[in-house]
Parts: sequence; C-alpha cells; structure tokens
Amino acid sequence: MALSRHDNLAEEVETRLDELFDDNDGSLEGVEAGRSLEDSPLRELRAIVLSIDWEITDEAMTRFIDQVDRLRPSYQEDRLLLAFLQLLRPLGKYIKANKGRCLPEAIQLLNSVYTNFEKVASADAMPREQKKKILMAEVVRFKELKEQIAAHHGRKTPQGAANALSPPRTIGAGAQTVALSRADLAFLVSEVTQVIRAEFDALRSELNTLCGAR
Amino acid sequence: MAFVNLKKKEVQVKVVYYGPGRGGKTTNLEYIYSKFNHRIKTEMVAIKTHGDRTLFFDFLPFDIGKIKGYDVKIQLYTVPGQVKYNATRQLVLRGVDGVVFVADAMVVRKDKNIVALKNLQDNLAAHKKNIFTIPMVFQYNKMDLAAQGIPLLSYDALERSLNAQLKVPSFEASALTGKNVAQTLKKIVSLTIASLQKELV
Repeated sequence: MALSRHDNLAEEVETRLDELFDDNDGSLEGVEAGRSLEDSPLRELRAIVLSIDWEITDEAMTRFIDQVDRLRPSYQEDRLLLAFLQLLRPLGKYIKANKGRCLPEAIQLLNSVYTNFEKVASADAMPREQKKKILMAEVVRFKELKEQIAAHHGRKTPQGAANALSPPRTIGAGAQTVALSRADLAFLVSEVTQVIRAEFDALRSELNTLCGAR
Repeated sequence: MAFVNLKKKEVQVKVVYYGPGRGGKTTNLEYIYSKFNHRIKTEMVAIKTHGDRTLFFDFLPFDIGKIKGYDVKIQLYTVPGQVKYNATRQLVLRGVDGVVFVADAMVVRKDKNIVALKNLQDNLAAHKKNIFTIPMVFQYNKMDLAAQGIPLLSYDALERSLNAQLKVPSFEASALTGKNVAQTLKKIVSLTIASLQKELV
C-alpha cells in the first residue's frame, strides 16, 4: 500500500516536471552545429575565449594576447578584420591587468567582439557594408567602455567601494525588470541580512583569533 | 526539512546548487530561468561582485502546482563557490532538502571538486544533515569544452573521484549550452519530493 502511494506520488511529480521542463532542444548539438572551426586559424583563439569565460588567469590572458598578435599577419590584407583584432588586444590587456576587478562589461565586450570577428571572418557571402556595420557597433561599445573605465578610475575610494556591487538584477528579461512579490522581497531581505551578519561574525572571530595569536 | 504548512496545504522545497567556484552553478539557474521562464513564470535574483562572481547567493523560486493536494513551491539557490565565503555557504544550506553538486569536469579542477565536496559534507553536518542520506545529484559540468581541446576528466574518472561512495544519480552536462540542465533539475526535484513523501501522503 505504502509502495503504491509512493509510486503514484513519483509518477505525479515526474509528469508535472516533464510538462514544465521539457527540453528537447537543449542539446550541445543544437548550439554548436555549424560552428566548427576545425581548420580555421581562429580555433585556438576561440578555445582561449571560452576558457576566459570560465576563469581569468594570467596564463590565459597572456595566451590570448599572444594569439591575437599571431593572427595579425594572417589578416593584414583585410583592414576590417584587422580592426577586430585591434579591438581585442587592448581589451585583453585591460582584463589581464585587472582580472577580477575589471568592469564586467569588458569581459562581455571581449566575448562580443570575438563572436562578431568569427562571424565576419567566416561569412564570405556577407556584404562588406554589413560587416562594416557590425564592426562599427563594436567600436562604439569599445569607446563607451573606455569612458566607463576612465570614469571608474576617476572616482574616489569611498564612492568606488560603494559601486563595487552591481545592483541586484533580473536575468533573462532583457532591459525589463520584473518586480518580485512583496513576500519574496521580504524573504530575500531577511536572507541577505542574515548572510551579511554571518559574514561579519566570521570576520570578527577571524580578527579575534588573529589578535589572540599576537 | 521542507517547510510544510498543513493549514494552507503548502510545501516549500529548498534545493541548493553547490560546488567549486566558477563551476557553473549560476549558469545552471540562468539557463533554467531563460529557457523555462515562460512556463514557470518567476524571477531570478542574482547578486554579484564586480568580476561577475556570486557574492551572496542566487535565488530562483517557482511553483510546480498541486501534488497530492499540496501546493508545491520549489526554491533553487546557489552558493558562492569561492573558499572565503564559507559562512554564506553554511547559511544557505540551512533547511536544505536536496543538493545538486555541480562539479567542474576540467582536469585542472579535480582537486577543487574534492575540496568543495568535503566542504559540503562539513557544512551539512553543521546543520545535523548527512551527505549520505540527503537527496543529491552530481552534475559534471563543462562537457562542451572537450570540443575546444581543453582536457577534461572522463565520466568514469569523475564518478571514481566524487561518487564512488555516495552512488547518487549523475549527469554529464554543459550549463552553458543547456545539456542535461533540465534533467539534473528534474532528478533532484523528484528525489527530494519522494524523500518528503511521509509529509505529503
């Protein structure tokens, strides 16, 4: 009897979950199809960009800059593609110098410039004007980032520290922000308060230990 | 222990995505949110530092509707993976009902996975919970990196180093592309609800 109840419950849960999370098109093949770079000179650069997406290390960033430099002669004849590489190099240098402290927009821009570089480099049939448009959009974003960095460095420490945290954000809704329900918000505020309290307690006890050790 | 409100016939189930830093815990929730938001109709909250790392936790609540007459609400959390945020990890585990351990399949991360798993065991013990009895699923993430020539641990090697004793369900996955993200979620939710059956039936 108990077993049959359990089976019914499991069945009911699984059916409900299948309805909600049916994921037939979430396979690797769907995403990676048609993007093989087996024989492309960009293969190595793409691998490095992907690894940067997971972790920014000195080694990865040095490899990135080296690889950009290595690719330059291959695209010497095409000023448009060369311009993409000219955007990638300073981005790599900035991220290498600042790592975890760099503006998140820099990593996003590096990804975007690389993706569009790959797109433009491999789309022989794409009209030159369209390629130019894509490049110009990245140049504009690059200039905006430069201004952001300059403004960021111009700030004094207290204000800079206050800005160290990005505001809470809702992911996936694009520019739209959907309000949380009051109950969810209240719950979150209490959770965050407790987390901060716990971190301070941990810090305090660490300080006490350090003071005691002197 | 799940929060069961007998009067309102409501159950809240807390699932925590745990694992080493930069392993893909937040990416799991981001994928779930972006892919299924039209069905689960919710919002995701993520609080990050400048380097885009998780500072406190990510939070994704959603309802799965009525099961055995109870309104079942699932709350997905991630913890910050960086070693220094252990107090936060411990706190997020309070009241946890099920755990997804997101392991990093990169060869260079083998030791970090083991350290994080041991940390999970210790932090669960602090809440008087046992890693051997709590509903748990392993997700071996970043399998997409194999195509880029990045050395990865094989499924068997990951099973041997992490799951030899626990023997819980496991999935090879790519949180970035979505491979097996939904399957991992479905498995942990069904295992967790099954473990709560006494309260529900």
